[in-house]
Amino acid sequence: MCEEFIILKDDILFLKGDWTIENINCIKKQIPSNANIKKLDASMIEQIDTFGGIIIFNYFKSLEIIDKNKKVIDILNIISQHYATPPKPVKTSSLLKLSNFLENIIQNLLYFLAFIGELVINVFTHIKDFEFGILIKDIENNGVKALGIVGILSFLIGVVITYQSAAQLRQFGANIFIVNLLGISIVRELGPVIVAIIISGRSASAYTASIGLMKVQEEIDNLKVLGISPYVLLVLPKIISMMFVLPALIIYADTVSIIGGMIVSKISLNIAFVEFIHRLRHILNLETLFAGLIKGPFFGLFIAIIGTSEGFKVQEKPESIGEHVIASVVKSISSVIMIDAIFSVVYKWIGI
Amino acid sequence: MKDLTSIYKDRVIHENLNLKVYKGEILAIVGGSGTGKTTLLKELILLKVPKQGCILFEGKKIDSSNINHMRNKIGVMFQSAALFNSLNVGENIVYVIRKKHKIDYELAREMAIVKIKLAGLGESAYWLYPSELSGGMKKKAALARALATDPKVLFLDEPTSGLDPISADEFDKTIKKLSKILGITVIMITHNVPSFLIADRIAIIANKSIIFCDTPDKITSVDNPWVKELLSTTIGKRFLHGN
Repeated sequence: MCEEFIILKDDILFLKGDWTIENINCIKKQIPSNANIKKLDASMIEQIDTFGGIIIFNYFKSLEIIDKNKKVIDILNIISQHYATPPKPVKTSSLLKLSNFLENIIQNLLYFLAFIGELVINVFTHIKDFEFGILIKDIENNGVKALGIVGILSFLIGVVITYQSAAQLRQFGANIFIVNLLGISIVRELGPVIVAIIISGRSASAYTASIGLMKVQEEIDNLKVLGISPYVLLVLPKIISMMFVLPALIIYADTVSIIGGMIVSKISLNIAFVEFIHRLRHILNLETLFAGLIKGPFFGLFIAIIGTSEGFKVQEKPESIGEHVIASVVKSISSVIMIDAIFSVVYKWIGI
Repeated sequence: MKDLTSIYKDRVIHENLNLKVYKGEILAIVGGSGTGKTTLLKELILLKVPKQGCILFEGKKIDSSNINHMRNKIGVMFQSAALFNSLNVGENIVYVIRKKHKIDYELAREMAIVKIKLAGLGESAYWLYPSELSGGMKKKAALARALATDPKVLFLDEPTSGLDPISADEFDKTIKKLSKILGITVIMITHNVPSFLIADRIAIIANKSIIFCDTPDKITSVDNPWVKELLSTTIGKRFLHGN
């Protein structure tokens, strides 16, 4: 229920009460339309703030104010001095958006190549800055500390694939083929990709955030001033550790996934562990193992380069860290899928 | 505030602080590093609950049951500006206005422009994101947002920290002008000696208590080593001589 804020008497509009933000909606409802109003009396206004002021300014600025309420006059002066029509956002055409998008992709690609170039030059010129301790620490962070999450997720993937396939295979009496299905799909495809995606989310983001923060806090600049190459000190150990850690994690994930599948096979398809392992030994030849494992160093290389290069892109404002962490995860996961697709084509060519 | 005692990790920060702030005045809260100025500000706006004592707002004791009564009438500018990074400057202000009061979007936008210009920014700042602003512009945008709903009391935490002397002076003048024309009570935590000039009163925190609370011209009477050292600096001497 609104109190009365506006009274129209003859051609004079009397304003009263508290013209403040709390009452704005009530006041707006009472604004008379198409009335023959010539003068404004604001003497009965008890309180006014800029919200009340802007309503008077917007609706009654052409009227003559017959009572000089100092508060009202002061507020109206403030409003008239600082009022401006809200600017419209600059609209960009679809063509411009598309060209910006393409330009962005090209710039990103060029930056990525320039980053690799800079890295290679620094490796040749500043190899003395390499610290073995940092490499060991990175292997611990990316490998040892990731064992838990990689193990749990891989086990569950083995369980899920076996459960989902078991019902279908049972219908055709092809229970034993669960070993073929699981062995090939996990070792050749799913194991490496799942590990790479987990590590992309876990380590690429961490690389971007940590290097980005060093950039914001001018630690990178300080390293350069001290004549130490941040590429050799920070990037190189991360790349080497990733290239070693990924294949190791793939072997671990494959093993855990197959154990998960083996347990479910025993429960739902009644395949004994010995039988399962015996068949698995026949299926998993060296070629299949190689086809899965060789992807690891490539995935690791790209995840590390993308994660660190995004960190170096961070500007001197902390808020840009978030943007680059997102970009780093998206780009590294996309690169994992693309590399996997390239491997599939190559395997097809060479007949693996 | 009445009999305010604060404890941080078993360390007493303040003991039995009593301070009255009058309507329309600018009060500067001053103290050395580690005296708990920011802690005090957070307790005044009830982001931190004091160990003992209470905060009174418009004569009423404020606690969790009526905290919104106070929060609807105050504006806070944090030291880091604390703008929402995903929103541009205009949206930062519009969001606050529309979240607190059900006001239509167009009016909120018009008000946002007025507040942006009042804080000393150009209207083009409306569409800029915090990442596109300089330190001084960020502070002004944060001030505009703190003023969004015409607060009765404005809390400022180190408003001029990180600004160059010219921007700091300009910012102080803006605060003084806004307090005068909008009748806002300002409580300002500051280290910056020139900012003392815009204050109606200065409260000095030292030795866990308020050792002085009076007009700036009486600051020379304070018998405290930190205050004496502060006033003996070049900038302190200038302040004493009023230039």
